[in-house]
Amino acid sequence: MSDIKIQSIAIIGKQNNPLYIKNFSVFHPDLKYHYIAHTSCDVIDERVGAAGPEAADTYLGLLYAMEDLDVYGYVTNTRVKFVVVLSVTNPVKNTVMKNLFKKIHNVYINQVCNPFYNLDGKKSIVSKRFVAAIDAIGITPSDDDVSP
Amino acid sequence: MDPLLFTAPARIRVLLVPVHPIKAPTFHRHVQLVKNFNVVRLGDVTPDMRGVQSMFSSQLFHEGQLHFNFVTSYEPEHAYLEEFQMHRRIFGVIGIMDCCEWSNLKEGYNKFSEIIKNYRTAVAHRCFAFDPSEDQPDDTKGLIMIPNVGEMNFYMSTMISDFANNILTEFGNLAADIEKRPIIYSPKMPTPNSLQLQNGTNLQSSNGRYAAPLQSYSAPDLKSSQTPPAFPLTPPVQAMTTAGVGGATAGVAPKDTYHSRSFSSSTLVNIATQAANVPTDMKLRKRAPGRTQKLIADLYLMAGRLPNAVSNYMFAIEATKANGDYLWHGSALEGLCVGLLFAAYLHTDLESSVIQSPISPTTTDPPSSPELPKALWADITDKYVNVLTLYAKTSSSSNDQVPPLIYTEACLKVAKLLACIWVAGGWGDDALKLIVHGGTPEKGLNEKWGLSSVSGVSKIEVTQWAMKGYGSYVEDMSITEQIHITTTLSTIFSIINFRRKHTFFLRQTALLILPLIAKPRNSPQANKPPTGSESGLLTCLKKITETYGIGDDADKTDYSVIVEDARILAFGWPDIQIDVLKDALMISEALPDYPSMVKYTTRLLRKLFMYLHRDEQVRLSASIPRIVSAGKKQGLDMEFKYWGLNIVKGIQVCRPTSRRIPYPHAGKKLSLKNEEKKEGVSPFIYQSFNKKKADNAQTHLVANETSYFLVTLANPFAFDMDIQSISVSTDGVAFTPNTTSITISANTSVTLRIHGIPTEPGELIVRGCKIKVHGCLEQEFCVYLPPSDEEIKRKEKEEEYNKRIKKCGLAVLGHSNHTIINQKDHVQPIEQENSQSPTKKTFIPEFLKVSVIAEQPLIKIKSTSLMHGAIMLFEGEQTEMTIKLENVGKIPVDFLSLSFNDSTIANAHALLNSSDMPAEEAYEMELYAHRQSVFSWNQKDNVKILPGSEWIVNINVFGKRGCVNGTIQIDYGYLNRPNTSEDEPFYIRQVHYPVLLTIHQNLETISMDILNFKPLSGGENDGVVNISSDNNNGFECQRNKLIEDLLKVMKWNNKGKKEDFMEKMENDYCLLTFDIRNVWHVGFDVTIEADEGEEIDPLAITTTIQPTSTARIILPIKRISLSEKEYAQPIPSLLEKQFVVSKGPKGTIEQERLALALFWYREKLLQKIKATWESPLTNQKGIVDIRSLRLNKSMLNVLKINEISFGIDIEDGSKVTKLSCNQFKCPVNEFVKMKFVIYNNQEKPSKLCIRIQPVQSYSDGIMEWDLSKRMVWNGLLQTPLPKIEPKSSVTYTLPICFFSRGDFKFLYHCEDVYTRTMYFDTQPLVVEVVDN
Repeated sequence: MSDIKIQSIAIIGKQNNPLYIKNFSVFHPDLKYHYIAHTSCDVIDERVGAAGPEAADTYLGLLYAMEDLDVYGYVTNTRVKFVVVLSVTNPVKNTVMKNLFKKIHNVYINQVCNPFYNLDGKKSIVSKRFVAAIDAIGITPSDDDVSP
Repeated sequence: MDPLLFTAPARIRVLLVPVHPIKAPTFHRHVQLVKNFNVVRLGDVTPDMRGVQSMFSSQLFHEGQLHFNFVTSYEPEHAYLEEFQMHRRIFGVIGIMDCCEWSNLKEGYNKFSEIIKNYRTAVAHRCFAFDPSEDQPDDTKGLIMIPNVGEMNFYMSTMISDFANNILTEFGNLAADIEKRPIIYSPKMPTPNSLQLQNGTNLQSSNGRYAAPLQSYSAPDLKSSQTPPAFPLTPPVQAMTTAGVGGATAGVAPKDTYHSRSFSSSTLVNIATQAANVPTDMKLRKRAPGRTQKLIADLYLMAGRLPNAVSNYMFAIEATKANGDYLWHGSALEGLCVGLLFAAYLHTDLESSVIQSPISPTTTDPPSSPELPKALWADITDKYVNVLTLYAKTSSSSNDQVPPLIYTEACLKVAKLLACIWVAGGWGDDALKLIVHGGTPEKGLNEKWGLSSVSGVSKIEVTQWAMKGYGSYVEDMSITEQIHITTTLSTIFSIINFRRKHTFFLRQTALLILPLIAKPRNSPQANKPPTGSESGLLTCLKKITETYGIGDDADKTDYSVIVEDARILAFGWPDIQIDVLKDALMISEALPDYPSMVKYTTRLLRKLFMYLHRDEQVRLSASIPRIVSAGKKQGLDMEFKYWGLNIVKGIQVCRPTSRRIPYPHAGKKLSLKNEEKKEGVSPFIYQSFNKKKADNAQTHLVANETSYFLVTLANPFAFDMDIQSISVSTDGVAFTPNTTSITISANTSVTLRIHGIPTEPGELIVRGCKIKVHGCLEQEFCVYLPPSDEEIKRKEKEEEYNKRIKKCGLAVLGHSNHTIINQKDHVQPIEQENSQSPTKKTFIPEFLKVSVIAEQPLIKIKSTSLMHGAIMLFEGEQTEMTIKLENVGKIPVDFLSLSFNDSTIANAHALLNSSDMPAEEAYEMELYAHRQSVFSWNQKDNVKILPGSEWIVNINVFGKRGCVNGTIQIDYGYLNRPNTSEDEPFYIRQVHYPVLLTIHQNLETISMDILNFKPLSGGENDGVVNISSDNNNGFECQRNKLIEDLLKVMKWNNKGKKEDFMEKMENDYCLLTFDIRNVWHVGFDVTIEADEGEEIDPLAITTTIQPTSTARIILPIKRISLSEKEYAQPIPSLLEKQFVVSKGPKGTIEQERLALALFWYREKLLQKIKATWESPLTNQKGIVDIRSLRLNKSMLNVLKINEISFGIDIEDGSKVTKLSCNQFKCPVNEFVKMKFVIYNNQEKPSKLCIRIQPVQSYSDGIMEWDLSKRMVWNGLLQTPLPKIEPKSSVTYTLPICFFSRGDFKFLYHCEDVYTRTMYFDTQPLVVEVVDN
């Protein structure tokens, strides 16, 4: 499972405003992932809209592939979007991605539980704990993929 | 034409070439004309005369259409694909000639002949000469004259049909050639250094992924079938003309190089020979039939012979499948799809032909029947999935690798197909039309309903197909190809309304184009208007920025009027926005387009400055003047408005100095009345009607006087802002502003005082400031009302709502676009509507309204009689001071009024309000505060101070105890102006003069007493009176001496004789005594005056009191009689304040009555007495404060005359002697008549009852009550008296006879029969009974 290589994790607010974008790639500039996350909004909107409100699954799967990158999406029930960009190596199992997104979701929930965090604010997340947690996910994605 | 049109394989590509000289517009006009005839019905094609060998044209009538693809440019770098996909080839060349430019048409035709030599793949050519003049002979062979009169359409269509026929015939030749070929090679992408590779051996191409052997253009056979060989190796210069017409051809491909790649025979031969070397010869031979079938099918497809094409494709598919020839298999499938689609479009029933075909083993049954049209696109997509798999398989083979372009195009074609279906709202004729003809789809049909499911195509599907075509290999393609791909992608995403993706690829395109258009700076032609591609690029930028929320809309809202500083952008990601704007900046810099540069620089600064680093801001702001000057050098109009945020935060009128403030007054009469009475205090604590005007809120400006304004400026940026000029911008009355300049340093705000002169009275509206920021145009900045809380809440709500109904953010763009497209005619109103959106209109400019009043005079205090504004007085001293005023204004003063204030008033008020003192004390305090004013003034009439003249005012000053300072306020104005009415409000100004006061206490009055006089009087009648056992004479002497002493002390001698005094004593007088102490170190002469009324001369005593000594003043005072009505009234208050229930300890009724009586008698007493002092040395004079004297009960008893008073007399000849008042000596055993005279001093009659009780008192104080054995009386001791009239008396006589000697005392009183009030005499009657 450790063959997936996370290039970037992006958290996008419900107004399609960037909340947090982290670049784990050493080759690409940060902005590249900004663009990828931004363009993902189109696809996510469409997916979510097409699925209808009763769609239970928050995991959206592969949104699209661009160049040698795969873009995966996940939307919480409050319409906060998570976008993970992987570099294409081998096909990744959906369960792996689901776990990954679940972890990100947990981190985000922790952040939201912070009473000092303005949920509707348009500012990006600066919490150190949040950043550290996302970093942990991004750098070692395979740690507990085996356990669940 | 769109190269990625799905149906492109079914079109015959024909190049339109201008035959120079021709003007670009003319050329384009004709190109458009020709393009109208791009569809030719097969039935219209001129029948082929040669008959037999034609595969593609026949005499038989065929249903179907022939589609031309008229182009003015093509991609020579794709030449290697021409053999694989026939439609890429240019089959025909049509020259377009303008007859007006040519005198000899023959020459022109020759030139065309030269031109066509460059296009060797072309199998047919024509030269159209447009607009021939009358005299030009139509005799040139091959030249087709197109007249501009008559049935031009018919003529043209005939010509085109003929042309089509020509091509179709040649198709036959071509097909024959193909069939003959033993080997058909797969296309190979030419590597950039193909020339070197030609010489070398099988080198790996530099782009590793598609490592391919050498190019193997399989053109030699083809060539042979064409027009004579041996073309010149290098194309002539004219060959470039297609693009050379001013570079105005649409499209972005570089045009100057493409001919270099066109076929030349030698290359082809080379390639052919090399291709022969490829080892897999046998395999290729095997595969050839399938490939041939496919190519011929391509030709059929183009020729419009769909049944033939389809069946041929079927064959090809079978053959290639059998061979494992994946590439050609895929391509054949693609072709089949096109064929089927076309059939569907034309509603041709292909069923028969397909079924006819002997082998139709395609697993997916071709459901091209119109009954099941929906399935077709699904079928096509399925087929394409297959195609892609096939293509993907080729990557393993070394020889037949799919060129990435083919792969990508396949993906994009499907994506576009699906997008077209989606946008057309489903599979149907609309969709087919779009697919076949291309063009801009009409958006919104689907979007409107949001029912992507109706069409059966989901946007996601489109996206997936589209993104498949954008693999990493795209980066390896040539720039032109990349541009093609990105533009197509952006088009697709635009169609399905994926604006973010659309913009992403648009930006990608722009960035790709950038290096191509970059030209050296200072190129001489920079002055020219932007060429087509440049303006296209700028439009591109505009679209990109719009999607990222930083479009031109952002400029539309004039940000200098927006009140919020760092207003968060409506939507967008700052990081991306910055990047996009920087890209835009870079691109416009490359063009160079200076206005755009300025536009994007300023936008970056204005909208995103809070995200930019300080250095960046400084750099950007510094670049603006550079760009401007560069632009100006080019002769561009680079004046632009200020771009930043509103820097004016507030503006207010500076309150003038206190002496210049004009105070408004309602009207002349009213105000004058007000002047006279002192500020009356209303009895109500709260007065709802009489609200005091908050005059500090209203400031008046005076005409022709400099007025000042405080302007607060803020610079939110991280660089210094240079304001070249700033002045107040006004409306209303004439105003002469004064301009200044200032530099606001970074991130600070300053408050500036700018001034100007209003030149006439009226209303002045201060709109804001006119500011010229360095490098920008002068602009007016207004101050905007900060939105109220309610407003903010409302706006937030609205924003929230807008989010929900998609009225903000990216969605609104899509929405408005959609509407604009739907109703192209109404673009303008929609935009207006947008600009009127409520969020933008909530800012109301705050215009300051200031009234400017007519000119006012101005006076100043030139001098006063005081030294340093200070004055030193004794307590109670009266003096006078003068103030000299000078009119320094321009108009006269005719109204002058003084009012005063001193330090004591406030203190007294504070004391009065805070403490709960008894009413009499409060009265005293009020009296002190208000009745004794420090300053007073005798108003004079007819004041007139002309400009420049002086005026003296006299003011009386009174030395009031405890006063330390005071203020003299002089109100003045010019009232009686010409042409003004009485009621018109007017203005006055004030001058204040503060005075420091030092009050020294010099005299104080203490220890008052009032003594009864009665005991002293009364002995006159007899001359000799014996008191008890004492010597009568001695007593008399003693008494006389007492009186003498008294007179001496009183200094009575100055006034009169002892007799006068004694007389006074008789007449109800009493003695008032008090001490006056001199606490100063100078002696004072004090005069005390007692004024008893009209008929009696005032009694005055003057005495000199030496320093630190005390003088006792003794003054006979007439006793005072006050009626009950008078002394029982409540203590008044000088301040007309609201009645407040006293919170102090309440005494009994008697105590209350007593307090009232004390108060009123004291008042009466103090009215009588006046005390003044004079200092003979310094000539100062003043009054002595006697109000410090207090009355007590015993004094009151002496002072007052009772309502009912008694007079006692004993009458019996000479034997009874009156010793003094109420003391008698009486013989024993003799009847005496004891008379009780009862006086009624009241104003009303009174009915009384008298009681008399005789007692015998012994010297030891024991009283003997039972006196029946010691005396007898005739009458009643207790009896009612007759009614006593006011101011009269009755006498009650009691005959009495004493039996015993000794002292008898008679106690008596009267009682009012109604009120039960008892009246007592001051002392009891004492009768000393002695022997005869």
